[in-house]
Amino acid sequence: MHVRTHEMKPILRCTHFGFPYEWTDADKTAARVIKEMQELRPVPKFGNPSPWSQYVSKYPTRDFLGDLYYAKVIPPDADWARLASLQLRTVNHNVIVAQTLQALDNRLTDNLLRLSSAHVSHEGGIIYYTDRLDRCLVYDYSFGRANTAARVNAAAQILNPDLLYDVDSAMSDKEGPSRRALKNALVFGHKIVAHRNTIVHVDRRRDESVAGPYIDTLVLNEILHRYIYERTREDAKNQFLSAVEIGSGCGLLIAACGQYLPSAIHLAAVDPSMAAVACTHKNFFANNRPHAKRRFIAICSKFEDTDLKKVDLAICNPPYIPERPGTRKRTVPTANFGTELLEQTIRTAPNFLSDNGLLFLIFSDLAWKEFEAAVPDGIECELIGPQSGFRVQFDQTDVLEDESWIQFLVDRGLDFDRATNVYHHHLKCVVAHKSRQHGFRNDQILERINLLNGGFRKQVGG
Amino acid sequence: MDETLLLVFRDLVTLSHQTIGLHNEIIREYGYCWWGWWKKPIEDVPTDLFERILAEGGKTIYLLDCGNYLFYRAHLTGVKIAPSEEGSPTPELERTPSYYTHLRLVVWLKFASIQAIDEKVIKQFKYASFPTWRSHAYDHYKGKTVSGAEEIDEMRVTLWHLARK
Repeated sequence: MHVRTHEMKPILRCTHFGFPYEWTDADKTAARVIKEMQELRPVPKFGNPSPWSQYVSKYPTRDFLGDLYYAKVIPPDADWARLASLQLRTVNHNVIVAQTLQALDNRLTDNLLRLSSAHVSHEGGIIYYTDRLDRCLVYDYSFGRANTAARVNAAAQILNPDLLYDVDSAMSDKEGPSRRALKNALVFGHKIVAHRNTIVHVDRRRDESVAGPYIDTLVLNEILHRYIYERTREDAKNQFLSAVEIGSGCGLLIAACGQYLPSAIHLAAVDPSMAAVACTHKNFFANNRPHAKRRFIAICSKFEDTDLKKVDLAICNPPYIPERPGTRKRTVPTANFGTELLEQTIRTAPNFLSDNGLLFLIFSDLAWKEFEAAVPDGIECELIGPQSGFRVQFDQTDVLEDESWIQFLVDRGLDFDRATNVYHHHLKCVVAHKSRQHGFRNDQILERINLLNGGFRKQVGG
Repeated sequence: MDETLLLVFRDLVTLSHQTIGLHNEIIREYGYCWWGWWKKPIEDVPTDLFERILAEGGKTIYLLDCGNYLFYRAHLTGVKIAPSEEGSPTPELERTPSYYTHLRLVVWLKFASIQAIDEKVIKQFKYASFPTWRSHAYDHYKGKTVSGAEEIDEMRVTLWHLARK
C-alpha cells in the first residue's frame, strides 16, 4: 500500500528577526488557554463566548496569530491572509483561529475609523504588521457611505518581511484581487500602516519630507511594547511621567506611547520638518483622544534647539546612513542620510534624560562607529536583541546608485546577498540611561531586557 | 417538523415603522438586505438551528415589532454568525441600513423580502423551544400555541423557535 506522507515544516521558535514566540507571560498564558480550548467538550460554537475570545479581548495590542502558529493551531505553511479572508465563510472553521482573526478585523476597523477624518481615501489598502513582525498582512478596506463604518478584508501576506513596503516579493506570485489590494496598499500615494493597535497615515504625494514608518520604526515599536508598555508592572509603568520622540517623522512611536503609557502626562514630538510635525500631530490624535490632564506638543525644530529636560522616556529612530568621507555637510536635515541626529541625541542624553530616564534608539550597524564614539561619560548603553542586530533590506536608491558610497558602506558592514541580489544591513536597538545610582528605578526593565535576550546584553561606553 | 424562527425588534434608533422601511428600500435596490439580530448578551446563538433551517436553501421566518405589535414575514436566504460574542460588522455595508452599519453584531441575517402579515398567521404555530435561553424558565410554553403579540412580548427572549401546529 502506498502511504503518502507530508514533510511537515518545523515550527520555528523565533521569528526571522529573532523575536521568540514564547517571550512574555502573556504568551505563556496564551499557550495554556489555547490548550484548554482544544480540550473543551463540547467545542464552543460560533457566536458564543469562549475562554479564548475572552482572553484575546484583554490584550488590545496583541493579535496572537504567532501564538496560534507556535501552538500548531495554524499549520506552519498556512497563508494567514487566506485564513483571515475565510473567517466568516463557514461556521465549521476552527473556532480559535476564527475568533482571533475576528478580533483583529474589529480592531483594524476601529483603527481605520479613527483615521476617517484624516482625509484618507474612501477605498484602499492597509499594511498590517503582526506581533513579532513575522508576517505583513495586506488588507483591502472601504468606508461606508457615511464614513461611520468600514470593512476590511485580508488580501495577501508577506512572509518574513524585512522591508516595510516589500513590493517585489509581495507582488511576484499574486493575481487578481490580491494584486489589486497590494497595489492599493503598496504603490499608491496613501500609505496606511498598522501595528499593535496603532495606525498611521502618510500621504506620500504631499508629505514628501515625512520620514517613515520604516521597518526599523516597527522593530522599535515591538520592543517598546514588549519591554515597556506590555511587560512592565503598573508601578514601574507609572514612573514614566514624560516621553518624547526625537525626529518623529510620521509619529507612529509617540502615538503608540500616548496610547499605552498612560502615566506619561507630558508628551512631545520633535522634528525639523513642518510636514512631519503636522503628520505626527494628525496620527497622534487619530490614536489618542485629547485629555484634560495630559499635554502633547509637536515641536517643529532641530532637536538641539529645544530645551527638553528630565525626560523619563525618549524614543529615537534617527537617520543613520553615514555620508561617505569628503561629502559636503547637508544644510537641511534629511530623513535618511547622515548620522548627526544619532550622535547628537546620545551625546546630549545626560542633559535631557531624568535620573531614571531611558532612551531607546534604533539605527544601523553602518553607523555603529559614529554612535560608539559619541557615547558620553556617565551614559550606559545596552544592546537589545541579537548581538548582530536585526537583519533588514537596504533599499536607499540614492546610495545604491552611487558606487563609491556603496563601497564605503560595504566596508562598514553592508552585505550583498548574491542569491536575491539585495543589500542588507543590521539594525541595532540600544537602551541608554545615566549610570545607575542608588535608587535607580528602572532596574527591573533593564534586568528583563537582559534576561529575555538570553544574555544578549552588551555594555557600550560608560 | 415544519419549523421556523420568530425574532423581535423595536424602532429604537429609527422613527416608528422606519426599521422595516429602511430594510425594504435596500431590498428594492439590491434584491436583498442584511438584518442584524440585536440579541441580548445573556442569550446564546442557536448555531445548529440556523444551519438546519437554512439547509434547504431559503426559509420564511417571522418578525415582531414589539413597539407596535405588528408582525412581518421575511424570506431568509443566508446567515453570517460571528466567531465570538464580540460580533462582527455587517458582511456588506451598502446592503445594510446606514443607521447601524457601525455596530458589531453576532448574527446577521440575509433577507430577500419583508412583508407585513396578520397576527393570525403566527397563531398557526406553537412554541418548539427557547434555544437562546440558558435557563428552563419558559419550558412550560413548549408545545403551546402562540396566542399573539402580547404573550410573546412578555417573555425576555429575542428569538423563538416555532413549529407549525
